[in-house]
Amino acid sequence: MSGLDGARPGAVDVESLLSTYRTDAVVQPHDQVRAYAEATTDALASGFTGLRVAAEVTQLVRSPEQRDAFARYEHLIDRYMTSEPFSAMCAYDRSELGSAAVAETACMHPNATEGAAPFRLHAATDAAAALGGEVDLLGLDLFVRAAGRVDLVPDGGEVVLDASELTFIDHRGLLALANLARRLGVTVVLRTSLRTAHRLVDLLGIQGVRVERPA
Amino acid sequence: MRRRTADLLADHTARGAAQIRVVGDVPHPGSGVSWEEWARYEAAVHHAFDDFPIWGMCPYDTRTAPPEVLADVQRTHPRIVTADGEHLINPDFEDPVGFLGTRPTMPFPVEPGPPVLDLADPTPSGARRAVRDVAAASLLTPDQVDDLVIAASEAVNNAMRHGAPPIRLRVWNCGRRVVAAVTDAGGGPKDPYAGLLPAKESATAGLRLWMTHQICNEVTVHREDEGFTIRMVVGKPGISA
Repeated sequence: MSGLDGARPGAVDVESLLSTYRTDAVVQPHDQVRAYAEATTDALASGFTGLRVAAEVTQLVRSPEQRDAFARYEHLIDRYMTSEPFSAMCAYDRSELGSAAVAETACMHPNATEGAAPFRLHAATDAAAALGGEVDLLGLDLFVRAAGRVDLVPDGGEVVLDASELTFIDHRGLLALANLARRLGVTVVLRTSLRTAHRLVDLLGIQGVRVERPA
Repeated sequence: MRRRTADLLADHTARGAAQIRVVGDVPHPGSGVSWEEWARYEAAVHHAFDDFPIWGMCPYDTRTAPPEVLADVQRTHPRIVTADGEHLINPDFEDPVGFLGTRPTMPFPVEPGPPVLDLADPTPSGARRAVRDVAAASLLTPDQVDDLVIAASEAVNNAMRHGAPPIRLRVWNCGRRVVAAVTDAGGGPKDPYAGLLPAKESATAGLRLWMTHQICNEVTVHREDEGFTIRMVVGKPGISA
């Protein structure tokens, strides 16, 4: 911990993954968020301005079941981070897990190593979720899984996606959003200035998806 | 076929129309447009609107339409109306699938100069970036740039899914028109209606190819020694001066 010599006591803690998570287990998304919320409260009570966590979580995402739960957790903690003085960075060993496995959870982060995931589906303050990057044929299955892991809360019969960072979505991605809209019984509003999205929804007459330019 | 036309017909039918009459003036070299794709259209249009009680007439001016165009018209229409008003059953009418199967393979048109971009085995994402860069430097409008990006991306997807490697993407910047060509080593789609009618199921190559025809100003397919090529033009159709 060089470079932290002058830091006040308690500024940096190093903990084993075992004490924070049971590495053989499937993460319990809500329990884990609660634990970090308590830790953040403690940090604030001790006079710090917030809590930052960097976690090497390779052990927690080895099986598909673990990855599914962890991806759900990632979104919940991401939501917590949009309103509380808590931030986290997750490290995954790509050489051990493979890039497809890393993409499962990397796509749930607002920021990820370049190339770790084709798109990002994460928490937003003024929308049900935010969608960035590219949704095309190669990332379609992952996108469908990711969308299923996010608890999209409707507002007035609409689920608004802040897609201001979206750089491409093809007709398959839009049809996946139409399926999502049908499943949730809502209209999915894609807030993007991408003209291609407008064009394709109109051309194919895709129902249940409205493309809106950001305000 | 234009989705909007189908919407219009559905609208009329829903409002109780028992028969819909359509007159469609089809372009040809006599009016300054190349013919082959329109010949294919004329054959396919018989099935495009099967769901509707439709009666269509395609007027051709025999003074300006070239003889080869009139010969194809004769093969693609079950009835012929002559200038003196006679309605005749046309004995030369052919089954559309048979007609489409006899269309000549067109040679790939020669563009003026080499492509500004020639990529081997691009990813769809790489193809989108590359096509956007070239198209953005042309005289195309932003909407036209987007259309070509979608079309090229879908063509590369199609080649990866249904074609055979290697895949090659070439792009020519001709100012007011940009040409993108995607070649793979396979034989191309077997469906004679490919690109002319939307496939029934979504997320098929048929839907993608149909969409490509919708958003480009000109789409031609070519089967040559190198393989199957789909050539997509956005901007002013025809061969550049």
